[in-house]
Formats: sequence, structure tokens, C-alpha cells
Amino acid sequence: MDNDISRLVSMAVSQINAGTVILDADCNIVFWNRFMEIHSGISEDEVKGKNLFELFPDLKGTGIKKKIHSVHLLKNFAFTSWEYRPYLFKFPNPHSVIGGEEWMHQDCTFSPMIDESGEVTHVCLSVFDSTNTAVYQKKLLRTSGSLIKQRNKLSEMNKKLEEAQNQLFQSEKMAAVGQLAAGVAHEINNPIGYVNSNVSALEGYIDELLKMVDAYEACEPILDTENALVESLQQIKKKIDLAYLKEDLVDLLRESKEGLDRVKKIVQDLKDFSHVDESEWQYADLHKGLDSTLNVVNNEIKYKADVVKNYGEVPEVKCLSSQINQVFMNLLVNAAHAIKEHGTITITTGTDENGVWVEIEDTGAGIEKEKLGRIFEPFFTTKPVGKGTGLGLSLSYNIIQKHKGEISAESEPGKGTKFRIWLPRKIGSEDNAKISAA
Amino acid sequence: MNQLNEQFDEDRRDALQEVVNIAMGQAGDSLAKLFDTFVELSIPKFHLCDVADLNQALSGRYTDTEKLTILRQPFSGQLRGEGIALFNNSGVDELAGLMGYEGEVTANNEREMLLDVCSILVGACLNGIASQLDMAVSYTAPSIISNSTTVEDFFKPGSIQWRYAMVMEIRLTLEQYAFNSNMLLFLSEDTFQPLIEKLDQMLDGL
Repeated sequence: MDNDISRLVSMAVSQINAGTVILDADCNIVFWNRFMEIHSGISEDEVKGKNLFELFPDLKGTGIKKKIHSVHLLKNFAFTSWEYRPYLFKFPNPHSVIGGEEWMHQDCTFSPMIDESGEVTHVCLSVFDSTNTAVYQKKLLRTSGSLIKQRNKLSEMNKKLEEAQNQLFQSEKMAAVGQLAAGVAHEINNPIGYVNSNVSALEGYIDELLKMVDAYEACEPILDTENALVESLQQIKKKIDLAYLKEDLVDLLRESKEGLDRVKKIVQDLKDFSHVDESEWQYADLHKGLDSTLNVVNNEIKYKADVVKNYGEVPEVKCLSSQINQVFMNLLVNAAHAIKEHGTITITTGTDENGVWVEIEDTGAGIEKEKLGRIFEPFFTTKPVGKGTGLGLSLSYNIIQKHKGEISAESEPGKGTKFRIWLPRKIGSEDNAKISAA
Repeated sequence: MNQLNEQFDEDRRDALQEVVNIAMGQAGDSLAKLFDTFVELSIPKFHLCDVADLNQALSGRYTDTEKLTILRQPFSGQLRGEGIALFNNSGVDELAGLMGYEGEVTANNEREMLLDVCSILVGACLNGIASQLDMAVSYTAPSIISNSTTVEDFFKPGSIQWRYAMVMEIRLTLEQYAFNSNMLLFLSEDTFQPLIEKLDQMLDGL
């Protein structure tokens, strides 16, 4: 009966659908079951008594010896997992008909075989075919990987969409403001025109009137001072302080003319700045753009900073000047906002081999290093809540990108910030077509 | 909990501590032979604890922010539970030599080495205890629970399913190596009764 059972057990071990290998203390193979024979193509007779590491030299130096050693020493179990070591024995994948892995993936267990005296005499190595699990697991990993990729792509696209929408919104707003400015400029131009010509005429008349008065005054010494009319003349002259009046009249007229000139200049700047009628790529003088922008934002700057202009020799650049002016405006207003009490804004321009550059430097609060990398992100702002939208620089960045140029910033907290814009001297005509189509 | 504390009275605690001390001595010996270097195993303290208080019981042993690799080695049989090994990722590169690897070591090799160290540690300590108490124990393959976590996150409430557990802390250091590991042996509640019986048999035999 006992013999019967042990025959059945040994048959079971032989037939079991997992590899079973028994190793003696020197790692020589004592037993090699059918699973191993079938998958290795080597019969038990061929391996019996042979050393595991000589038969399978690939196993050398990969920690297997140590594992077996630990089983002997500690009466312990040792394992390998397909996740970290796909296989111990390089067997062809039995499921290879429908593709998948080339080699059988294996989970292996080394277990101690202990005799009556409690010593480990042999090590039993069980080899389990985990190819199916591995294939599914890998497929799952790939699927989840591509899902994650797609999700990231989607959220990236969403972000871009949001950015585009905001820019559209912002540029629509700027266009509306530009149109309004141009409209206002036009409306003011008319009255200013006739006021101007009237003042010029007035100037001539007054000049003549004054000449007339002077002529009358010249007659004064020969007038009869006893005459009541002459007396009242003298009184009126004294009362209105004719000498001062004559002087002041000229001054007033001169100042009025200056005022009118300034209004004319501002109207011109507004027109230049908005460029509503010039939304095409044109060669433009950046200095002119800077100056008209400075005039438009003068109110924001004049109490905060002195503006120093270090203009170099700069050729005209092909650009959308209204948009470039917008960038100048953003940078100038930011510079003024960064200055707490009073400081200096320095504008420097110059050229290099392929392009022109403009630097706008302030002596303001500066930007911390960790924030500097984010300033061109939409909605990123260092200004107090309600003061900045966080869109100005992002818009500027995109405008400069559209011009194939570069915008960068360097800053030292407490000292100030320097923005640098670089624009290529020429953009190829093909690029232009693309840009206006975009 | 009070009842459990009563069951593990002083005599039984002393007996268990003795068993553990002997097992650790043997384990240290075997590990020294295996790694061919002097091995220091801390004398383990065991806590009987409500798992809900585990974090508190363990707090202060590890820094809050230290990123750890945590592995588990489940065991079953008359002693049932899990060994949890915590590695602080320093000195992992030294393991290749210790574990008999030659040539270039990949990230997967490193993971397998950590798994090996985990099961070697659990086996070395537990086999000694099991054989003294004549209790059968078997092992399933170890696995990596987390590559980078803090102790606090790992033992946060709800992450362990048992109500009560016997927890033993063992610290392994190898002479002249930066590598070290802390291991927690968790014995599950349903192991307490057979364990007490075995301890009583041992005490009776004295």
C-alpha cells in the first residue's frame, strides 16, 4: 500500500504541470521531471548528476548560487519572479502560436528538503509557467501606459485651447480698444483742426490789435488830461493793467498752441499705437513704436520712473507693429508697476547678426528665481489680486513667437528686472503667409 | 486587548522573548555565513498592539519624511503573518557583491536582491522561532509594496486589515556596509492561541 502511494506520488511529481528539479548540496541535478524534459528538450538521463551551472552557464553570476546557499543555510525559501527575472530556464513559449512572448516566463521557488536529522540535504526547485499572466500584465501595462499618454495629451490640448481662447479674448479686447482709440482720435482731430486754425487766426488778430493799442498808447502824451473821457481811459487802463494783459495775452496764446500741439501729438500716437488700418506685416521703426507707446502710457510711468533711452542704430523690422507696440506697452507698464517709490526705466536697443533687440530694464522689486520661470505662463501673476490678469506677458510671449523672435527675462530680487526682446530682421515671405493664415 | 494582554502573561512573554533571542542568535550566525561578514541583529522587542495604534506604537522609529522601499514576505501555516522589510535605499548598490551578482546590475536585479534579502531575513528569524516551538511554517513569494513611501503613509489607519497583531522589530546591520534594513514581523491574531499553547508546552517541559 505504502509502495503504491509512493509510486503514485512520484508519478504525480513527474507529471505535474510545473517544473520540478532536485539539486544536491553541490547543485548537481538529482531529479528532472517531465515538464523540464519537454520544455528543455533534454531528458532526465542527460542531466542526471550534472551540475546545474555547467548545464546552464547563463545562471552563473546572477545570484542563483546565493539563493541556493541561503536555502541550505537558513532552511529558507528563495524565489524568482518573472517581473524582475523573466525566466530562469530559457524555454520557448508554449503559447507562441498566437504571438506574444518568445520565451516562457517563469516564477520559481527554491525550497529546502530536510532529512530526519533536521539538515537540508537537497533543494527542490519548482518552475511555474507564468507566461499567460505576464502577457496579460504586459498588455495591461501597455494599455494603461497609452491611456495615460492620451490623457496627458488631452489635458495638454485642453490647456492649449484655453490659452488660445484667452489670447483670442485678449487680442479681441486689444483690437476693440485700438479701434475705439482710433475712433476717438479721429473725432478729436476734427474739432482740434478748426480750433487750431482759429487760434492761428486769433494770433494774427491779436498781434494786429496789440499794434493798434500800442499806436493809441503812443498818442497818450498829447491828450488833454483834463478831459473826462481821457481820464476814464486812464482809469480803465490802470484797472485792467494793460501792460500785464498785453504780456500775458501772448503767453496764453503760446501755451494754448502748445497744448493744442500736444493734443495733436497724442491723437497721432493713439493712431500710431492702434494701427487699426495697418494690421498687415510691414517694415516699421521700432524706435517710433517705443516712443508712441511711451506717450500712450505716460500717465502710468511719469510719477514712478525716469525713462532713459539708449537707442542704438536699428534698421526697420518687418512686423505687426500694433502687436509689437502692445508688447512694449506690457513691458513698460509692468516695469512701472514693479517700481515701488521712484526708479528708472532704461530702454536700450541694438542689432546683432540676424536681428534687432530691445531691452527694457527697471530698478523695481525684481522677481524671485522660482517665479521667473513661470512668468510667461497664462494666468501667472505676481501682482496683487485684481491688479494683474496674468495674461500680459503670456500674450507678449506669443506675439514674439509669432514673429519668430525671442523674449526672455533676467531678474535679481531687490535690484530689478530686465526683459529682452529679439526680433529677426527678416521673416521669409513664406513664413509670413503661414503666420497670417494662422 | 486587555484579555490578550492577560493571555500573554509575564511567564509566556519571557518564554517567547527567550525563543526569539535564541532564534536571533541562530539567524545572525547563518546570515554572517551567508554574507561572509559580521552581521548585527538587534534584540527584538515585541509589541502586542491594536493595529489602530500601530502608527503611534511605531512613530519615532523612523523619520517622517524618509522615503523607503517596503517589501512584504507573507508566511502561512501554524504561524501566520507577514514580514515587512523597510529599506532606506542607501547602500543598495553594495548588495550585488553580497548577493553573488557579477557584471552590470539592472534595476530589476536590484529589486530581486531586495526581495531576496527580505525573504532571507524573514526566513532566518522565523524559522528559528518556528523550529523551537515545533510549528510548521511555509512561505509564498515576496513582493514589493512600495518603491517610495514614508512610514507614516504606509501605516496609516485602514491600511492593515487585522485588528490585533504581534509586532516584532528587528534591525539588521552588516559590518562595513552602509546597507541596513528594519524588519517588522507581524503575527496575526489567529496565531495567538496556538502560539500560547506551544509556549505552555515549552514551559511545562522546563
